[in-house]
Amino acid sequence: MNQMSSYHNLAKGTKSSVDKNTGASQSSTPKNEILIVDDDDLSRKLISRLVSKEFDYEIATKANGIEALEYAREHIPCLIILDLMLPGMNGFEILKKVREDQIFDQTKVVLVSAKSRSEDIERGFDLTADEYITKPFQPKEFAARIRKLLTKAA
Amino acid sequence: MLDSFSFFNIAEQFIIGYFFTINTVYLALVVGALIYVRKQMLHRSVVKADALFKTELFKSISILVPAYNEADNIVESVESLLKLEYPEYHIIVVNDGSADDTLQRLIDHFDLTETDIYFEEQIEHQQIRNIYRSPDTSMLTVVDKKNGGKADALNAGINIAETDLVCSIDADSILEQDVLKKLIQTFIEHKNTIAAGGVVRVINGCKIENREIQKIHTPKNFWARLQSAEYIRAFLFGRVGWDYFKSLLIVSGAFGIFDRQAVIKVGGYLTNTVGEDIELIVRLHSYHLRNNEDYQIRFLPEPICWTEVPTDYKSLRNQRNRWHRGLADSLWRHKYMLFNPSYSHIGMFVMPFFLFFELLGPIVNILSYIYLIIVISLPAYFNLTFILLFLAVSIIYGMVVSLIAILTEEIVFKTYDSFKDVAILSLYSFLENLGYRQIHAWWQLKGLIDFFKGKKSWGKMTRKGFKE
Amino acid sequence: MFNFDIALQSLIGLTIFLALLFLFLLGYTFWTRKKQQYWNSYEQKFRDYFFSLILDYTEESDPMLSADDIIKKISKRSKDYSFFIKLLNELDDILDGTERERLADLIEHRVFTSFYQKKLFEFSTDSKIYACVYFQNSGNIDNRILAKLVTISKSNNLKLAFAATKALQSAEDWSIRKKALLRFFKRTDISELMVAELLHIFDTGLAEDREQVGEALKDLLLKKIDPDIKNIIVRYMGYQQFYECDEFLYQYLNRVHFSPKNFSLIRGLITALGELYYTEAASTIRNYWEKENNTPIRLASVKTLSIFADKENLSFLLQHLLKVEFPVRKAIIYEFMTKGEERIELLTKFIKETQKSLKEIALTQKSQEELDPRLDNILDITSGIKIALTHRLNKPYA
Repeated sequence: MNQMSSYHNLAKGTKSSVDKNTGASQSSTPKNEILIVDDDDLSRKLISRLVSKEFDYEIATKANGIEALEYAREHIPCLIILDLMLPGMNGFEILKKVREDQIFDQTKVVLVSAKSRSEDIERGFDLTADEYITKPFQPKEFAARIRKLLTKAA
Repeated sequence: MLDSFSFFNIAEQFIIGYFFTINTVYLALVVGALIYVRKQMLHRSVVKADALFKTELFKSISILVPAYNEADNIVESVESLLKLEYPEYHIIVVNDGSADDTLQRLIDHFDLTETDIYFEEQIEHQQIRNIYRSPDTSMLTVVDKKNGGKADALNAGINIAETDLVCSIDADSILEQDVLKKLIQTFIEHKNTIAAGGVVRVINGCKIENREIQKIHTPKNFWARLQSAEYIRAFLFGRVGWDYFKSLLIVSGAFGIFDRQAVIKVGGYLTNTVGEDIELIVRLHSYHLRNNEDYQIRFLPEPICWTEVPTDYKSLRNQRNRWHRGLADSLWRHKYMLFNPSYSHIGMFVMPFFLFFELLGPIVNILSYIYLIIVISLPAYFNLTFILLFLAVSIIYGMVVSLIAILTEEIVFKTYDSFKDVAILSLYSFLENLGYRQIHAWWQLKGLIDFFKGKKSWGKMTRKGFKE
Repeated sequence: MFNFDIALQSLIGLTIFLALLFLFLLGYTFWTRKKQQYWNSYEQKFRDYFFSLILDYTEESDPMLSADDIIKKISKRSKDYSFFIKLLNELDDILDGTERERLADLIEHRVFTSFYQKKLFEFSTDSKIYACVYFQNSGNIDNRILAKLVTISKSNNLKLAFAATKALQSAEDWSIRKKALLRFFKRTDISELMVAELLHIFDTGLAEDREQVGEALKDLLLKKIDPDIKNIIVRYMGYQQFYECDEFLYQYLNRVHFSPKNFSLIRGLITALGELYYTEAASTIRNYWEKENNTPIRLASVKTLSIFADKENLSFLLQHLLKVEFPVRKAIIYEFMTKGEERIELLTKFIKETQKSLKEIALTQKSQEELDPRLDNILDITSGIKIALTHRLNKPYA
C-alpha cells in the first residue's frame, strides 16, 4: 500500500518536471494501458475480453465515472473506452475533463453508448471524441476501429 | 347511575369497534398490497418497453427542482439528477428567492450564463428575475425568481417546461437512477395516466458515495428509525392499497410525475395552502370527474425516491402538524365532493374515508386515550376487561399490522442491506405503536386545531419558504 | 358489556401471534438473505463460466464447440435455465452481426423451446408471461405455440395480451403478425405508448421488409380502430421515413372526417407529411388552418409548412403571426429565426411593414382600443424574436 502511493507520487513528480523542461507539447508519455469505463458488468467484461484478445495492452476497468477519472489521472492510459451513461459522472463530462487536461494529450477516447441518437453522436464529436461506437456492435468492427486509433497513436 | 353506565358502555364499544375496524382495514390493505406488488414485480418485464425508446414516440420529461436556501446540497443534487437513465429529459431548477448563495453556487459550478426563454405564463407565479443555462449542460435550466413558496416555484417550472410530463421533486430527495424508466411503465401500463407517484424511503443512515447510494441501512437516529418503520407501513397501505381501487389521493411532494397539460388545465399548484401536493391531486380528480374525462392517477409500488426526514422532536412535530393542516385544507376546499355522486367513488367513498379516519381519526384516538386514563385512574370506573381489550385491539393488533408491513417489504423488495437492519426495524415497529402513534395523533390534532384557528390568516403562510 | 374471558383470551392470543410473527419474520429474513447470498454468488459463478463459453462459441474460436455441448453443461434446474437465457438476452443487446446470429443458435435451442413451451401451457399467468418474454426474443415458434400465443393475445389481462402480441411479432408469417397487431389495437384499454412499442417491434427495420411493413401499416389505418391509435401509427410512419406511403397519407388526410374526435389523427397526419416532405399537402394543410382553431393541429402545421418552405407557405405563416395564440406564435418565430438568414430577413421585413401600416392606421383613425391589442402583439413578437436570436447565437440552445 505504502509502496503504491509513493510510486504514484514519484510518477507525478517526474511528470511535472518533464513538463517544465520541455514545454507543454511533449507532456507525459502515456503508458500502454487501456481503461474501460462502463457501469454494465457484462459490457465491461465483453469489451475487455475483446480488447485483451486483440491487443497486447494492460487493461483496467471501472464502473463509476468519478473513480474512472481518478484512476485515469494517476495512470494516464493511452486509450479510454467510455460508456455514456455512468453513475457518478457521465461520459460527456469525463471526456470534457480529459480534453481539458494537459496530461491527457496523447490519450484517445472512444465513446460507447446504447443510444444511436444523432445529437449525442454530434455532441460526442463536438467534445472531440476520437471515435463513437453504438451498442449493439459487431466485435470485429469494434476491434478494427480500436486498432485504427491505436496505430494512429503509435 | 344506570344512564352513565350505558354511556360508558356505548363509548367503550365504540372505541373498541373503531380500533378493531381501522386495524382490520389496514391489515387487509397490507396483505392486498403484498399480493398486488408481488404480481407487479413479476410482470414488470412485459412493460419494460425497450423498443419504445428507439422511436420518437416516448414521452419527454422535465424534472422540476424547487430550491429555497439549498446552497449546501444543490450542486450535488443537480449533478445526481444529470445521471438518470432516460433518453430525453430536462432539469429545471427554480431558485425561489433563496437568502443564501444557492444561485451563485449553481452559476459557478455549471458555468451558467444568463439567457431568456420565450414562454407564456399559463399559470400565475411570482416574477422571474433571470433565467440561466449552461453551454455545456444543455439539459439544465436554472430559473431565479422572487420568493413565493414551493408551489409557486413549481408553477414557474411548469410554465417554462416544454415536455409532455413534469416531475416535481424536493431539492434534497435522491432519486434512483432508473426512476424515470420505471415510472414511464405506469404510463405504458395504464391508458390516460395523468399523474403517478412511487414509494418514498428514508435516506438517513444510508451510505452515499460518488452521488450514489452505496449501502442501504436504517438510520442511527431514534426519530428517523421510527419514521423508517412508519414509511414502510404507510406506503404499503396508504398508497398501494388505494391505488388498487384507483382511488389514490396522495402523491408525495418528495416525488410526483404529472402530465403537464393536465396540470395546466386545472390551473397548476395552489400557492396559498400548506398541502399543495394533496390539493393538486384532489383537484385533478375533481376536474376530470366533473368533465367526464378519462384519466388515471396511479402509484408505482417500487422504491424510487429517498428523502431526508427530520431527526429531532420539534421539526418532526412541525412537519406532521403541517401535513395535517394540508390534508384538512384540501378536504375543506373540496368539501363539495363529499357524498356527491357525480364524483363517483372519490366523492362517495375515498373522500369520506379520509375525512372520518385520516382527518378526524386523531380526535377519536386522543379521546380514547383520555377515556382509558379515566378508566385506569378512577377506581369507580375501573374496568379491567375494557383495558385488556383496548390493549389488544389498539396496541397489539397495531403491532401485528406494522410487523406484517415489514415482512411484506422484506418479501417483495428486500431493500435493506443486512439482517440487522430488518431486526432494528421490527423492534421500532413495536415502539411505533407504543408511544409514537399516540404522540403523532396529538400532533395531528394540534394541526387540525391550528387549521381552524388559522383559516383567516392564509396570506401569512405563502410568504414562507417551503423548508421548515 | 364485554366478557372478561374473551378480552383476556384475545389479548393473550394476539400477543402470542405477534411473538410468533416476530420470530417468523426474523427467521424468514435470516434464511432468505442467506439463500439470496448463495444464489447471488452462484449466479455470478454461473455467468462467469458461461460467459467465456458462449463467446468462444459465437466467435467460433473453438470449432469443435457446438451449441449442444454448451447446453449439456447446464443442469436441468429451471433457475439455471433462466440464468442462462438472461445472460444470452443481455449479450444479444450488446452484440451484433454474425456473433448475434450464433447467439440465436443458443437462444432458439430446442431444449429451451420445449421448456418454455411447457410454461406457456401452464395455468399460471406468471409462467405464461415468462414464456411470452422468451418467445419474443426467440424466433423458433411452431404452430402449436403460435396457436397458444394467439389465444393468450386475446386475454382480458392487458399485460398478458400485450406480452403475447409482442411474442407473436417473432412469427415468420406476416399475416399472423399483422393480425395480432390489429387485434391488439382494437382493444380500448391500451395506452399510446404500447402502440409505439409494438410498432417498433413489428417493424424489423430490415430493408427487404420495408415494403411489407408499409403496406401493413396502411392497412391498419383503414381498419376500424381508435383515431388516437391511428395518430401514433401515422406519426411512426413519418418519423421512420416511409416515403412510399406519402401519397396514401395525403389522401387519408383529405378524406378523414374533420371532427374533434379525429383532431389528434389530423395533427399526426400533418406531422407525418412534413417528415416525408410531401409538399402537395400544403394547400390542404392551409385549408385546415382556416377551418378550425385547434392549437395542436396548428403547431403541427407550422412545423410542416416550415419544412416545405416555399414562398407561399412562409408568407402564409407570416400572415397569421399577428392573429394566432401564443404557442403557435412562438413556433412560427422559432421556425423563422433558427432556419437560416433568409427567413430572418423575411420576418424582420414583415414586422417593419406591419409597424408602418399600424402607424398609418393610428394617424387616420384614432381609436386606441382597436390599436392597443395589435401593438401588444407586435411588442410580444419582437421580444420573442430577440430571445430566439440569442438562442441562435449561443449555439448550444438552438
